[in-house]
Formats: sequence, structure tokens, C-alpha cells
Amino acid sequence: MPSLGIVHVVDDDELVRESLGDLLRSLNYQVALYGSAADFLDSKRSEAPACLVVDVRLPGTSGLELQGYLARVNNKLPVILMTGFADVPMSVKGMKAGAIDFLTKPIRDQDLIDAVAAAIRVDKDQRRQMAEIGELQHRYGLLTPRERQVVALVASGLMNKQVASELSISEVTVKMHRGSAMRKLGAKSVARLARMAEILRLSR
Amino acid sequence: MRLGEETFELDLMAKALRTISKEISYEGLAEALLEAALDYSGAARGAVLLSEGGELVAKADASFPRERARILVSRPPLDEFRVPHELDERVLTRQEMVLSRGGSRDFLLADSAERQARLEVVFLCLPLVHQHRTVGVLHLEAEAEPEIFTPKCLAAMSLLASQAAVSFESAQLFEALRETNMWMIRGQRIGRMGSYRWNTRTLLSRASRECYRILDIDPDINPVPFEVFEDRVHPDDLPDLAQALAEAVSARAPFSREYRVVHRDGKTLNVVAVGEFDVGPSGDIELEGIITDVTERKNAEQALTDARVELARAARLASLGELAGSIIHEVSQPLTGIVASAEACLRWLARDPVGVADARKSATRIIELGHRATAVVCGLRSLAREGQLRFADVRLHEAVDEILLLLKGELERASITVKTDFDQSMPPIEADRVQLQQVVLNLARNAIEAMADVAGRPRALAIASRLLDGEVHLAFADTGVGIDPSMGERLFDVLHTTKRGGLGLGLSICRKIISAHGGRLWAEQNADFGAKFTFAIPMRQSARRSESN
Repeated sequence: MPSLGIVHVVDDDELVRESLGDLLRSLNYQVALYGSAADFLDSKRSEAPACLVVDVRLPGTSGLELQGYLARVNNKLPVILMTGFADVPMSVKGMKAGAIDFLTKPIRDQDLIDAVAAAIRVDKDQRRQMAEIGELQHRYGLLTPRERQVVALVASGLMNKQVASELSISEVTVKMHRGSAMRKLGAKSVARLARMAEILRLSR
Repeated sequence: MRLGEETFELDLMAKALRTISKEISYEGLAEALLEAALDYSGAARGAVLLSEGGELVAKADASFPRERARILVSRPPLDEFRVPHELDERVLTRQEMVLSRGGSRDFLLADSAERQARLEVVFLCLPLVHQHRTVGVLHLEAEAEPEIFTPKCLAAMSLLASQAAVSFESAQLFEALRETNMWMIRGQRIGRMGSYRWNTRTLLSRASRECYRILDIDPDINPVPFEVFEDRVHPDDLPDLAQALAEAVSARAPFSREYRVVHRDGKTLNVVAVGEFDVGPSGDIELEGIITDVTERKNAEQALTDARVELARAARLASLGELAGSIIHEVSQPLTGIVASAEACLRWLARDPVGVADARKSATRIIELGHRATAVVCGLRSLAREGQLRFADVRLHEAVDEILLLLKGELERASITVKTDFDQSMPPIEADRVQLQQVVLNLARNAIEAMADVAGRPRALAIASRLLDGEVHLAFADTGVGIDPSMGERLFDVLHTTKRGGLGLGLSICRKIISAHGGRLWAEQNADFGAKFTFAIPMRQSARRSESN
């Protein structure tokens, strides 16, 4: 059966992390176990959809610190926090920092299953978006400078005539550049082109 | 009728002497002496002055109140009286009786009208001598005619004076006795302490005023029957008290007992009675002693005890709250594992084909986690059971060997070699075997865990026993990571842990158990590497108890 994704489990309690790993493996996730935050950070991680399940209370770097570090280095790996203490301020902090869920031990298995499934879904979406943006950027790189000018003005809502007057070229030439750009970017409509321009502007 | 007159005089004299000798106060004595002297001699005026120069005071008892140092009675009453200066030397120093004549201006006791009458007067001034000291003077005045201070009269006056002087002695003694008695009464009242004598044959008691107050007995009951006393003793305390009394009586041993007394108005006092036996004036064996009202002291003690209990409870609650966090963590860890593994196990079994190997691993892990949860609960139980140790003879080495057998698997898996160095001469020791084994287990487990990450040197656990000064020492030395010296005593605190997933309870439990045995548990850094945990407990608990008493 193909893997549903990779779950990284960080818990200093060996039996607990093995149990969690066991459960997740039985659910067809690929599992990687770590005894500390440092072990996790030292590991090589694949590009497959993944999430991180980490205990808040760890020797050395705590779960929250690991979460904060990943955010700082722009690693968008979804994080599920676990704790032995139901500490409200701590869980608020973890959720504010973008955790998918905050699970209190003893963990109900369904809660973990749901949280991991949600986290993997989030990661998949993120990864797909990232892939799309990468593809778009690649295609955008194929555009000539004139085509990029035309795309920017069309996306801002100007008519062909207005674009022509803006760039001091004929309306026919504008149509030609626009058609070429849409072909290169794979945009089937002007609306789609505008959306692509928006994504490119944001990701720049 | 001469005989009749003499009889009358003798009668008068005898009566005077009787009166004087009966007097027990200075004032009364002085009054009686003056009365008798005036009666007998027929003198018109007279005075008695006592304790001239403070002699009496110095002689009797330094503690006598000073205001009694000078007592004057006179007819007619005067505020001030002085022995004529010219007579001072003869009367007071040479202790002579002086009879002299003078003019009315010399009337010491006369009023101004009488002085103006310029009559001739006679003075009789005689010293009151007691044990060679002049303790006062008797001064009489009469008109010169008719002659009243006849030789016979003078002899009688001398007799009166010497009898009066003797009476001073008894007055003094009586005063001293009265004073002492007052002191005793006041002292007993202040000290809330009464004295008693209990006749063991008649069962009647005589007791001081304070005893009556403490026992709430009517003052007119004297002597006090035993039933009256019994009636005041708290019913719950009476049987024990009666038995203690009976035992003390038969053994003639000093008696000491604390019990409660209930007054007729319901007020309850705590008293301590002590006493010793001796033969009383009647020839019966008597218990003589003191009853002290210790109610206030008792109340203060109770308040102190209450405060201590309250404080201890508060402290225990605080550490309970502290513990709760740790316990929750410790129990929820294995529970998390158990639930996850069990869920996984079911899934492996539900697969097609069945994931037998995986399911078995899951089940094995569940058992292991279950054991761990059990260990946590056992640890807590021993914490809760603290103070309820069951001491019995324990062969220490056997107890240690049992634990090592229990840990055999763990030790082998961790590649740890165990060396034991037992003092073979060690006799059985008095300890709680189960609790002691808990300590051995915890210390051995600590050692195993401390060596988990050791590489490049042998993993060895050395267990050694020694007898030192009546104490048993058992040491666990490992070759593990050792102790951070900055840790110090925090090592033994509840919740303190350096272990991954550690209890934070183990060492604090160990120390509690060892303390309950009257022993010590400490940690040292080994010279090369690793740590050494040692506990020392007394061989015999009885030795320790008698020591602490």
C-alpha cells in the first residue's frame, strides 16, 4: 500500500514514540522517530507530504521552541503539539504559532489520527501550491520583456486599446503579445491570466 | 484584809501574765502589757514602745515588713513618744529600771492643762529585755502622792516586763509562720499548685487552699474524703488514676499522674499530681504531694500542636499539587502509548494478510507500558504509605539479590555487568523489606539509566555493603554520566528529574523510605566517572528509638 505521507514523531519517551509510530504505520503512514528536537533537525527529510508530531516537554530544545525555529527558517511543515499537562497558556501559544492541533496526553487515538490526516492534507496543499508557483515562475521566465509589460497592464484591468496607448504601440501588437503570453503561461482566459499575475506578484 | 488583798493582787498578776502570754501579735502584746501595768500599778498614764532602734526587725526575719518596726501604744493615745533623753542611756543601754521624780513640765503623757497644774510626778521607765537586747520600753507616769511605785509594785512590773519580752519571741515566731503561710497560699495561687497529704489507711486528705480551688471542693470539707476527690476526676481518667494510685501505694513508689478534673460548673482542668509516700504524724502511710493546674500550659501546647499540624497539612497539600503535575505526566505517558499501540495492534490484525509480527510487537509494547504504569502506581503507593513501615528481620543481601534477579533482563539488554561486594559477616537487620527493596530497585534502575548512553568504557554496577558504627551502608556505584555538582540536594526533590521521561519521584521516594528507617541517602561523584549513591540505616530500629528518646 502506498504511503499516505511521512509523520515525524519527536518524543523523549522511547516507548511512547514507538507506540505512536506503530499506530501511524498501521494507518499506512511512513514514520520517522526522534528522541529530541536536535535529532529531528539533523535528519534528512524527503519532499513527500509530511507533518511533525512533537511533545512540548522535551529535554534540550522544547517542542514550542522547535515550532518557532521552523517558522523562522520558513519551513512550513505542519506541527501537531502534544503535552502531558493541559496547560492553557502554553496551548494558546502553540496554536497561535500555527500548530494544527494541540493534543493532551493520554491522547485519544482518533484525535491523533484526525490531526495527522489534517496536517498531511495541509502539507499536500501547501506543496501543490508551491509546485504551481514554481511552474508559473518558470513559465513567466519564458516571457519577453514586452510580453511581461502587456501581462501586467492587462491584469491590472486595462482594455487592449488603453494598453496600446500606454505602451505607444498598436492595438494589434498588444493582442499579439497578449496571445503569446497566455500561450506560454497556459492561461485559457484573461481572468485566469489576471489570477496568475496576482500569484506571481505575491510570490515575488 | 491583807490575805484577801494579796490574793487579789496575785489573781490580777496571774491574769495579766496570762493575757500577755496569749497575745500573738505585737500590737496585742503591747496593749496587754500596758493594760496590765496600768491596772496593777494604778498609774494614771503609760506607754509601751516596741522595737526601739529597729532591733526586733533585725533579729526576727529580714523579710518582715518594715512598718512593723515601731509600735506604740499609750494612754492617752499619742502619735509620738520618746523616752526622756536623760534616761536613754540608763534604760536602753544599761537596761536599768529607772524611777524618777519631776515637775509637771516633764509630764510626757500629760496634756497642756495638766502641765500647767505644775504637780510633782513620778516616772517609771523600764526596759523590755529579750535575750540581752532591749526590744522596747514600758513607761508609766503617776502623781507623786500617794506613792504607788512601791518595791512590790516595781517587782511586779519587772515580772510583767520580762513576761512580755518572752512573749515577743512567740509573737515573732507566729508572725513568721503567718507570713510563711501567706506566702505559701499566695505562691500556690500564683503557681496554680496545691499541696495535699492523703492518708492511705483512712483515705482522707488534708489539702491547701489552692488544692480546694483546683479540685472545686468546698472549703468546709476538711479532711476531704476520697469519694469527694473521685467525684471531681474526669470519669474517663478515673480508672487509670485509681490503678496508678493503687500501684504506687503497693510499691511505695513516687507517684506522678496527669488527669482531668471536672468542676461542678462543667469547667475542665488538666492537672498534674505528684507525690511521695512517707509515714504521717498518725503513723499511717501518707501520700504527700502537689497538684498543679496545667490547663493553660496544656491549652498553649494544644494550640502549638494544632498550628504545627495545620502547617504540615498545608505543606503536604502544596507538595501534593506539586506532585499532581508529575503524576499526571507519569501516568499519561504509558497510557498514551498503550492506547496507540493497542489501536495499532488491532489494525495489524485487521489487515489482509494479518500483520502478525507487527501485532505481536504492539502487544509486547502494551505489556511493557502496562508494567511501567504499574511501577508509577507502586511508587505512589509507597509514597502514600510512608510512615507505615513494617519492621522485621531482613537479610539485606538476599533482598538485594532478589532485585538483581528481577533486573536481570534489563541489565543484560543494557550490557551492564554487576559486581557485588557484600560484607558476609552482616547479621539480619531490622527494616521494612519491601520498602528497602523499592529503594534498591530505584537506585539500580537509576544506575542502569545513567549508563544508557555510555560508550568507550565498561558499563558496570558495583553494589557494596558494609557495617560501620552499628549502621548498614549499601552503595551503588555506576560508570554512567555522573552527577552535575551544581545539582546538590535538588537531586532528591520531588519532581526533579534529569531523565528523559523521568519520574522525578524515584530519588525522593528513596530518601523518604530511608529517612523513615532513621537513615541517610546521599550521592557522590566517583573519582573517575559515574556516580555513587549510598544509604546508611541503623542495624536495629529499637536502638535508634531508644537513642532518640
